[in-house]
Amino acid sequence: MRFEYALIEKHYINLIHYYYYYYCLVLLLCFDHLFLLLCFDHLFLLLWFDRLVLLLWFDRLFLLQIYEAIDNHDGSFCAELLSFKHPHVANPRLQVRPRPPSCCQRCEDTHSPVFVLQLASPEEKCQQVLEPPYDEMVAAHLRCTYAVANHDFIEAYKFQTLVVQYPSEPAFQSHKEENWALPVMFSITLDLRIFANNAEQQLQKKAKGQPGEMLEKAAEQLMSCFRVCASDNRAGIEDSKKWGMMFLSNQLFKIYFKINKLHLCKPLIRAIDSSNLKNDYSPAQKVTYKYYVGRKAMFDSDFKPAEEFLSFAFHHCHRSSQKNKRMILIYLLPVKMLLGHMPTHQLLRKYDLMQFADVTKGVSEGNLLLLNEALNKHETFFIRCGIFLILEKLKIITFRNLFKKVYLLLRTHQLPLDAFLVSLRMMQVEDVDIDEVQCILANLIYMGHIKGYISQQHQKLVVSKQNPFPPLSSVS
Amino acid sequence: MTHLNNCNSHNSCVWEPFITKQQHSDGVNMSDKKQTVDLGLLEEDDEFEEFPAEDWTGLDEDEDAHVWEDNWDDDNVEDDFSNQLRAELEKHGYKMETS
Repeated sequence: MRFEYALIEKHYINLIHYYYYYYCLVLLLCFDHLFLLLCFDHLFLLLWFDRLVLLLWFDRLFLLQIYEAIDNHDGSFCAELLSFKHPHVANPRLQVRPRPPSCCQRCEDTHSPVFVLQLASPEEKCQQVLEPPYDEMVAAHLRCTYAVANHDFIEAYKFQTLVVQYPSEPAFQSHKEENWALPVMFSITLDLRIFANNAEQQLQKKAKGQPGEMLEKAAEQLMSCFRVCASDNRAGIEDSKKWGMMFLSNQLFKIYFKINKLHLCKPLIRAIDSSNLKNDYSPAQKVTYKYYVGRKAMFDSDFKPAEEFLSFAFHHCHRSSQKNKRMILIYLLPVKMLLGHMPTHQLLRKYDLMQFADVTKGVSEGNLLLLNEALNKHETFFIRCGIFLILEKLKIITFRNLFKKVYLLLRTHQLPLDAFLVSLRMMQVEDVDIDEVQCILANLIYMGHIKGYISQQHQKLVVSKQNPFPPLSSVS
Repeated sequence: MTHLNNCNSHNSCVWEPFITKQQHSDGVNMSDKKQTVDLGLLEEDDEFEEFPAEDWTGLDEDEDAHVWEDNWDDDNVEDDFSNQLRAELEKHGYKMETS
């Protein structure tokens, strides 16, 4: 019954609007220009009336919009109304504590504040319009808007956790054969993660709490949402909540990478791999997913799968997301180089990654000196990106390339170990001797980069007459 | 009247929140319109960003063809570095056959 009342209220407001407009129109048509002035006054009054309506009933109208969205199962619109990307969050009239209208904070005029709206208890207001659990959920959201406007992300996070409890609740799960609320879940979980991030920063400034604490808690909540989605076996494909799995995984990946707990990504990857929807998610979700899975593979030294995932992400990334493309490339470059594929200069320039230019040149030439110089020069950048250690692996490739050049220059299959020593000394490798040379060669042979053996007696490296330095891409 | 005019310029906070269904269905562009809500919600600089749009086609993707080279591994020793190495080896008594 109360919902009908609320709707009538809304229509009533609209009616007043329309009657007032027609009234002014009638004035205009029936009377001549003498009364034109009167009409303008009326029209301005009408504008004030609009503001009045919004001021007094703004919160109600906002709640009515939510009610309608829920009633129509309009997940996207409902999601927007509960999202912090939506402009409504800036409206002080929705926020819990009373504040003067923001226009009066910005105006230099000392006119008196127009109206101050008391939103006594958001829970009460919400209960008048919405059914549980939406009433509590939206009330928490309203309290959150105030916290966010005050830049108090710790409070904001607290309230957002109440909002996010909703998808795990029986009410959401009771949408048994439906998944219309998935956009809502996406929106509120995204905001939860962002608040957790900001709350962490604020806690650190106050030197309170353990680092990563808030993010871990947020991750736990997101995991329970994930489980709700993953365990939806009942509905048909179109209505299945399984469509929420990839988005949630991506949010969880972001947290796990941030708090450095990559091993927690495994169950998520396994769940998505075994799902039959894995190729049908949206491009945005797939690109993000492959980016993180590619980085995980790189971390686990699975370079072939890493190349596959990161290449997919790179090629299918939307062209306007240059920042994301660049990020993908930062991780794709070392992987590609380890597999023997060097980037063109144009590519590095296009994505502002010239830090890799000398790295590429050094590795492909076998110029260990240049590589070391480049790694030193851009050490901070590489460490910040988390690829410094991977780039160190390129040294082995560089040794291989350098020794291959020695082989090509000397044109014999029996290469004196001393020749390699000469080349290493040229590269200003410190304290290198014949034993060190043997060590490096032994490693290269073991890894499959050189086909041959070391003859101690003759102090020579004897290489195969066929393909002694196999292409890098064929060596795993 | 003047007060009204002044206030109208700050009106965005009052009028904006009423995005009707019409505008909403106009598409993603809505979020580009007014960045009045800058509540520090942006992600950190070194994080992978959320995409503004969910869906796109191949037309929205960059071609980026021919960006990876394999020919660096050809058996070519005419570049500067190779010449440097050649000189160094010769200096240490290694004879290199030239043919």
